[in-house]
Amino acid sequence: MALNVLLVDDEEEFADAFSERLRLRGFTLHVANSGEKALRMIADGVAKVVILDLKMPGMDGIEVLRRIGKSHPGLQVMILSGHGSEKDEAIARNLGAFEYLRKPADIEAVLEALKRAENRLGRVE
Amino acid sequence: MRRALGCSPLLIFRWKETSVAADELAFFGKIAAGVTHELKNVLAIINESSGLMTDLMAMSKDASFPMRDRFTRSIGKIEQQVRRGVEITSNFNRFAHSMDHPVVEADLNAVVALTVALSERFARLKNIRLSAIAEPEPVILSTQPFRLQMALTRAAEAVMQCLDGPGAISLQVQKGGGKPSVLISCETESGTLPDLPSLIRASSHWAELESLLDMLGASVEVAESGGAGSYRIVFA
Repeated sequence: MALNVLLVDDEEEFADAFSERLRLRGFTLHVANSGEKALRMIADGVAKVVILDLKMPGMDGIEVLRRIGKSHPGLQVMILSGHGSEKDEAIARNLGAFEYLRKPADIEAVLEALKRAENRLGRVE
Repeated sequence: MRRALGCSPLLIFRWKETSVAADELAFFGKIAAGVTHELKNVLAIINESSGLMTDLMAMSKDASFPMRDRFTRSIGKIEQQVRRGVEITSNFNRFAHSMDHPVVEADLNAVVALTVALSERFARLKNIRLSAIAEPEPVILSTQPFRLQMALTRAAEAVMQCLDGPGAISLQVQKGGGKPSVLISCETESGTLPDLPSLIRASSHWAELESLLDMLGASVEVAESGGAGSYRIVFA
């Protein structure tokens, strides 16, 4: 069964191309262009893995991550951001992000991280 | 510093002037860091778009496409330039963030590596190869990162001025004997530069370098004999 992945990124052109590449590799992709929309979709149970940008208008990625940690601690969240400093990475990992990739990321690194997310989900469930 | 401020109106004025400059630098750094972040987003979109083209080409590899090789080569060039762009923007982003705080704990290895990466282009234009050599272990300094990068750049530029042709300059971090230092060495096509000590003092960057090092609590040592072709910046 295809892994359901939620991509949270306000850069629509990035989200379009990136999500299509993952669909071509057999993943089921859902896209949210804001943190608020992402939390609504998570509440609806659309995905078990979240790929999250950090800097977005409105609610930023760190706040989304903090809220996911409280409401859905079993979700596997990976950060994919062009904005991250080492401090951001430490905060994100401390809030439960299992991976932190910087844009532009190599697709193989993303696939590797998704495989690990799948393994972690297998252990959690 | 406080004692000096207490007794000299001129120094108080200069201190205030320096504080404004630090604020202005931090502002410049913030804007520059923001721009590099946006450039990374642009590079990410180009990267994913060219990646998608590669994926689609791979999926239709059995279909007839007379321009396939040229198309594939062009995508390869885009990917190569994206990697180059990421390296440049990442270095510039780190440089911009060096203006965030006047004084930080920094690894001298990382500062030298970044300085060399940012200055390589200036050296290349003069047919000079610039390189950084790190200590195996981190060399942590409490320093002014922006000013330190400026001093290291000036130190390399002072040597560049002494070379009248192709050559190589290395900045080597050392911690032998306790005090951290950076050994700046140069080689020309005909070997080392035996009259470097006198040439380097005549460089137009020399006075500024000494002034910057003074502000960093560092000093410069030029060996008059036995150390031809190199000189050393020593941190207190």
